[in-house]
Amino acid sequence: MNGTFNPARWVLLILLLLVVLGVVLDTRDALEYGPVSALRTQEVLDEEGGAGGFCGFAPCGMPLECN
Amino acid sequence: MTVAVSPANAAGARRIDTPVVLVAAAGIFALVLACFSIIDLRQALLALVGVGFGYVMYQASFSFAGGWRAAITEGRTASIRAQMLAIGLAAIAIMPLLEQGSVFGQTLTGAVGPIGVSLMVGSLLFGFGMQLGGGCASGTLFTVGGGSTRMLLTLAFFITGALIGTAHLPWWSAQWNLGVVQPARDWGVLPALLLQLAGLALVFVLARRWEQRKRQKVASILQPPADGPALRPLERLWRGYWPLALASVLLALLSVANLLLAGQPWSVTFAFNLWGAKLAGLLGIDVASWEYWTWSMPAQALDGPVLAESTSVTNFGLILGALLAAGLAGRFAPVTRIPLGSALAAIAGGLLMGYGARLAFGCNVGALFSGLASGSLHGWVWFALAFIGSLAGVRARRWFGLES
Repeated sequence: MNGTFNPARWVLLILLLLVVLGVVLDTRDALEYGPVSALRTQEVLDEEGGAGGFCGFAPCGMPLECN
Repeated sequence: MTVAVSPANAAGARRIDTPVVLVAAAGIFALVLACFSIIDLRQALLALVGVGFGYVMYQASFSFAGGWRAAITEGRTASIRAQMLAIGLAAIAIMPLLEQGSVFGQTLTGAVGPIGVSLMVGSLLFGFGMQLGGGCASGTLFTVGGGSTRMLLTLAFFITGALIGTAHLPWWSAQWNLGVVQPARDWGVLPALLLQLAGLALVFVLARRWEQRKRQKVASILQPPADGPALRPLERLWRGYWPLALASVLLALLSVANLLLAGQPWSVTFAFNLWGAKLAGLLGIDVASWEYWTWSMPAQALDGPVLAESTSVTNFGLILGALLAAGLAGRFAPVTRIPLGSALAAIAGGLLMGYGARLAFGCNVGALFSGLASGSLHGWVWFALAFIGSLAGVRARRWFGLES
């Protein structure tokens, strides 16, 4: 495809730029409330908002009971 | 897998696509820099692990959906054998690591899930959908990165299906289930690992026999694909056509790196939930009030930026890694025209995969690859039922005018 005009390449480039813009805006919004930490470093919360109610999560994010 | 940029179709003498390589390199640099400066070094390294996943999968054409279809319709089982090898190698490292509980100060959690109605329905739907969609979760991402516009459609509806799945998962997960079954808990890690490896070896041998019976010869996964051009070994680094066994080893190593950095094994579709929820929020849909999004981890993920969430970062890296690979191999050739039947199949397949992955607690990566590598029995149930779903999905491809 080198040297030839391919509209699909431009469509994909524009989409990529839109994704980048979305991630930038999403990150900027989060930074307004202070520094951001990785999700993996945050404490697991139980239904009452306390820490350590579960023993991890299934890959879908479903909390798994400790037993 | 329906890959518009299939290596098998590529001519021997393609040049490096410099604009594509530059865009991919700039994207990777920006992603790594953003993760490092905003989150931490681990997140930046995770982005590079994602790049590795995408690069390896593209250069070796490592696919789950296409591999299963080739086994069903043509008796070619190299992909399935390579999958078993990759999962087995990953399990050898991941199961003992999970037994330790934490490494380098990072708590480790396996890709486990309960065995029950939700898993069974979800994996059947996923297997059916991945044959219509033309790729599984990882395959959808790496073919999108490789320039497949059709797979963009699959991805968009994959995300939609995953979001719908989050609305229904609390109900499904309340249905009958056995809970999480991990033989390592009862028998110890070594017997459980040996049993897991025996199961994977059995599938490997059965696949080999099936190919021998159907084709009277067995393609080696140690050799480059027979239909590729003749290339020097070093040239294959960027031109592709890698032996599948090489990809298996590299994917296993990358999945171990993923576990050490993220604290969880390689996963893909949680990010699709999150992207869908964020996009729905932009459309004014109050996703945060749905039960699923009130659970601890999803709620925290929704509150934070996508860059703070591991699977989003590895997914972005995976797409960019595949883009880089396609540019270096000179195979980035997107097309704008998608036949109506193919587009409808992509939409249906995407929706079914997204919904199915949510119900099944993961996709071919989170439930199959990482589930089995974590020693969770739900990975085997997922494998069996997704394969049955695929058998039906291969037949259903004709409804949309797709070749079986």
